[in-house]
Amino acid sequence: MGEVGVSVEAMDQEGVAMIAVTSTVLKGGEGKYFVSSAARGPLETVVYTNIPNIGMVAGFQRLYEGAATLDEDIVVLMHDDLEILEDGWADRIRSAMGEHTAIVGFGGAMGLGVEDIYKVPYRLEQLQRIDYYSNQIGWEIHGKQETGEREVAVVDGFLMAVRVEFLNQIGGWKRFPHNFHMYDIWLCLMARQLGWKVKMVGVECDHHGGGTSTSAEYLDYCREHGTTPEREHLEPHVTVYNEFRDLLPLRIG
Amino acid sequence: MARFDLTRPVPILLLSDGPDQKTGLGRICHDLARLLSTMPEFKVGVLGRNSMGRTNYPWTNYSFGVQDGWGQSHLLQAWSDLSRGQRGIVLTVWDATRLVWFTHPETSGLPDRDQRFLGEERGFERWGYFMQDCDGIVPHRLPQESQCVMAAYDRVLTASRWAWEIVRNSLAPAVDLDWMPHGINLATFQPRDRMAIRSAWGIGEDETLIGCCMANQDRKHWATVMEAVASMSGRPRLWIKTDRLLHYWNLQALAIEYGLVDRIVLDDRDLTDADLAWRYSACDATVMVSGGEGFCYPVAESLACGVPAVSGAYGAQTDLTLWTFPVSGWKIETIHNVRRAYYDPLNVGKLLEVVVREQRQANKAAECRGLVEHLGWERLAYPWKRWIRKGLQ
Repeated sequence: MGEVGVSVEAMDQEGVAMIAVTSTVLKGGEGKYFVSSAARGPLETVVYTNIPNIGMVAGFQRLYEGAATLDEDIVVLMHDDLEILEDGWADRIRSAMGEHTAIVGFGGAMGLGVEDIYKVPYRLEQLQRIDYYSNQIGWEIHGKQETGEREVAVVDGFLMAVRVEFLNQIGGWKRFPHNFHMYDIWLCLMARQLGWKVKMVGVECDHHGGGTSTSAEYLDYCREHGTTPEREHLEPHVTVYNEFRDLLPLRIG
Repeated sequence: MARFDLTRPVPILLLSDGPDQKTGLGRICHDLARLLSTMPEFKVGVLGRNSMGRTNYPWTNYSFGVQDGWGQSHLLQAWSDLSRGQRGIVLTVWDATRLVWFTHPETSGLPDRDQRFLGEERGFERWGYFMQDCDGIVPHRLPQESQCVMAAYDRVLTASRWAWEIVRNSLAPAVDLDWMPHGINLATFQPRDRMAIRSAWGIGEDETLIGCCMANQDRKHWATVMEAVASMSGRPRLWIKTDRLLHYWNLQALAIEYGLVDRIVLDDRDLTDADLAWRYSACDATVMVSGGEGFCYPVAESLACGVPAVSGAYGAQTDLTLWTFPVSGWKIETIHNVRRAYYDPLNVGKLLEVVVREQRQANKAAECRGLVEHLGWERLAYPWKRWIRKGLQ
């Protein structure tokens, strides 16, 4: 991952200001899915490129701080490989973002953490998601289909619309000391800990995901920053495991 | 209707061995009473068998003597004093076999007043933390007596996943059943200098030292331990921690007949947890040969000190350790009709030799410690409190 390109979208409709951003994690990725997804907004686009690469979470942090400066209410963070296939998706997010909701995603799980977590020695798999719902292409591979909306324990980070008021409460990701993994889980659990709700809306979309964490760019990033892909994967899980003992295992409904 | 009046602290009375007793149950009772005392939702009392009490207990301490059985003649008085008529919880920390009178007072021969208190006028929920250490005549199911007792509880908690499966197979699905391990003090039980105690005992660095802490119950198979150690090559040393030399066993006679008299270091007195930690740390491995265990502190403590604990494949300790030898036979012990395991000493000795050799090649302290790190009370308090609070909803 030699470069990170970041596109910034801004809109102001019905009194709720939203800013949509995407993080392009692969060199040469031009955000083509983002452009087509934004067209279903439609949204005005501001693009800036994140060079030198400061990492995904750091990039999100910068975008949140930008959104806060612009006095936006909601910041929408999405992966550059997410293709939104449904018109009016921003309205659905806005509608789902009720008064007590901090995060809305397009895919979410009803639970996090196995029943015996903390009763047996730690294993990474204990932090698995339980009953995942989405309306993404191939939803049956990941879990169950949801075309409406529902409260969930955590959302998948491929799209997270986050209330800026909540991010202001926690300072964004300043306290999350990792770069690529578990930032979505950590954010959702922080919201839950502070009494906010987390929701998903079943917007039709295609997450062309996979491969990023084994890409040459990712490996380059690790080398340049004195870390390894294994460490980048393992350590955030330990952080979440240790930080949320009072919440896990978490179940909704 | 709410289960309890949550506008006031809910009275909860632990019924168990005295929290100042050295028994495993006494230690568990102590730790749970202390944990509950940190929760503002509760007003905590302990009715402890043979308890003297301490000025620093943050709970109300009641006691009865061993001559008074299991507290059946004292529970009414203690509960009335603690609860003042408020609905609450009696949490028993005992084997189910001791509690038939508690769940089925009509069979107890207690005075009518006590029977009504335990029966139709019962003003408390029955919660039980059970160190279930066996199945019964039907494999993987509880003995009938224990099943009968547990079925009458409002909440059942076992001390191991191993026992949870047995109980799950035996009770109706609607029963509120879960499992939770005990906590241990990982600050005290941690790897210490291996040579410190060896130096005091005159045991060289290259000598093999096997440790064995077993006391109190006839299900501890000292003869198997002695024969296993005698069968090992290199004539290892054996550290013994027990309560009495002559009990369900005759340790002196066993040592003589197995030719181990000059190999044994014996502690038959009370030791502090720190004393134990230094001794565990001196060992190359520890061994537990028991017909069945409900949790097994010696295994957990040995692992916490970084020393592999070798044990039989039957019992709650299999939740903790990686090193187990197979069961070679069974026996049903009456009067409670419990299934007990027996083991071949040669299998025990062979596994000990393998583990000692591996330990010498690559120290397993970190691996052992990792098996029990979740048992530190500062960590285990989270799932414990979650289980307790769930019962108030």
